[in-house]
Amino acid sequence: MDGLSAGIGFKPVHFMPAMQARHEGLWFEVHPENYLADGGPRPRMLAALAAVHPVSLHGVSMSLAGPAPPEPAHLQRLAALVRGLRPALVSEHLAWSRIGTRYEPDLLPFVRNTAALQRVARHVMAMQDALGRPIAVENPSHYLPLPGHTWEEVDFLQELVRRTGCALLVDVNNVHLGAHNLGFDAADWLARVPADAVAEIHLAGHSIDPLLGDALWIDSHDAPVADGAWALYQGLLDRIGPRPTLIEWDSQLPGFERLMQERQRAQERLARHAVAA
Amino acid sequence: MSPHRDFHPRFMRAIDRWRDGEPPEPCAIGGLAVPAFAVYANTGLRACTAALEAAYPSVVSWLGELAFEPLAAQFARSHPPVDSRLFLYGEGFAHHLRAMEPQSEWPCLANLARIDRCRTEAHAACDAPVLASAELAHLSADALGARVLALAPATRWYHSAASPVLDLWTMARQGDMAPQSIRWRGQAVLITRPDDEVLMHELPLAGIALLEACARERPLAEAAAAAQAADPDIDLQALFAQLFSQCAFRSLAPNPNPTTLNPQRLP
Repeated sequence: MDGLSAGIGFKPVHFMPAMQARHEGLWFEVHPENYLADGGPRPRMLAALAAVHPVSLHGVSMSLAGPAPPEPAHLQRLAALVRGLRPALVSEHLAWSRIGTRYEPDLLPFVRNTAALQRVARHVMAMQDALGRPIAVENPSHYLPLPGHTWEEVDFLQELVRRTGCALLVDVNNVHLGAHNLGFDAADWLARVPADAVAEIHLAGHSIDPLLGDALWIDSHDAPVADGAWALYQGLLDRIGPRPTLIEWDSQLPGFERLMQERQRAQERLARHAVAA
Repeated sequence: MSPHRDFHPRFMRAIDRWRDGEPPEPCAIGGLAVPAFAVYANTGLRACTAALEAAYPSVVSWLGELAFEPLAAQFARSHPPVDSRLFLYGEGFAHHLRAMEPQSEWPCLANLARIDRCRTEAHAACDAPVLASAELAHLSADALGARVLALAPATRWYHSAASPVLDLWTMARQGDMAPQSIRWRGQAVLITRPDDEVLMHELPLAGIALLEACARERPLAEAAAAAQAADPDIDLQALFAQLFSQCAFRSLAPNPNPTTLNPQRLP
């Protein structure tokens, strides 16, 4: 695992305890968009963190599944950050968020057909070429049963790996949540993920929709990881072995110690598999 | 033509229609007018309003979160983000507030927003070493007057000839709304970021003329004359001393050392 075991999403409010933490295999993930300032405390804070801990850059805005190639200015800024920071991992989402000059701050769905596969593959290649390294692509959360898919999501991702050499970031909670919302089998989805391609795993808590209740789960990142997601994670580790695993907790943010407790739950599972391996 | 060829613009139009209170075009989401579509319509809008709330704290403080949220949502619908760096989002918010002033109970809001925006820009500006007055000590008066002083990348300023904009902003940030307690006058504010922290200073109104001349890359003598034209009684020596001590200018010397991160002043 190149020294990475369980990590947590970094928040500026946790800067001091994060800098002081010395847990084996600990790493931090950030959304690079929040640090792409021309100067000032944002990039300096990230550089300081990266000097002490491995850091992963997890983008939310490259719009890989968008109609147009990655925005050149954003790609150049990210490439400069990657060159300076040398992050342990770089990842993006299988989603879109840009149309023309407009940026929609969300991870929007698309119809998985062969034209989309070709387009996403071009965009992944463009990103990898600009960064000079492979990226990991994450399966997004799903809420809408869009008609017209000609590719299953796992097959789409597998083919994307084959065509571009990218890796996969498997968000177990997104599979857990998407399976509930759209009615597919989460365990089957995870069982078909190509083990060699998985570079990172995400775990997060979810909430239920305030209007629709349990019929719709929301990928809110505001709670502990659900038992069902832990069970799926365990099953995935049993099959593919340990992988760097991130606890995402972005709203209703608890203190650093509570985040580290949640991280410890993943760490213990990873350690058991590392010993077995 | 594939029925999915223009999926992206149709999906985005459906989001906009949903936010405007209209049902999405059925074809936009594959004929499925499912309530789950609201997740997409709401998530992006919430991200925009949260970004505005973070970027315009004095306006939030003045109005309260409940009143700010619909104002921010209205702006986000009419001015969706272009840049994915949402900490820079909201450049036109002050203008948006200014346009609403005739109907507003609080005509000072646009001024507060302008100052908040200056702080955001200063916060994210390039790093650069500041100019110390000692760097100019060897110059003769004539040479100094012919010199063009570059403003530090983070230096911003704002003024109102009619309103105490800095006092109102400070009051808003402190959450102590008593505008009747402040002395009503024109006021100028200088915003700098010598280290990690954005600093605010009251500036003589004539200082604005000097800074604007420097921004136009005019020689120092011309900038000083502009300040004197704005206020014949201006104490130029004191004004320059203030600008130097508050790190408004960029150093003439190359090879800056990056400043040290101060964790107490992080965003």
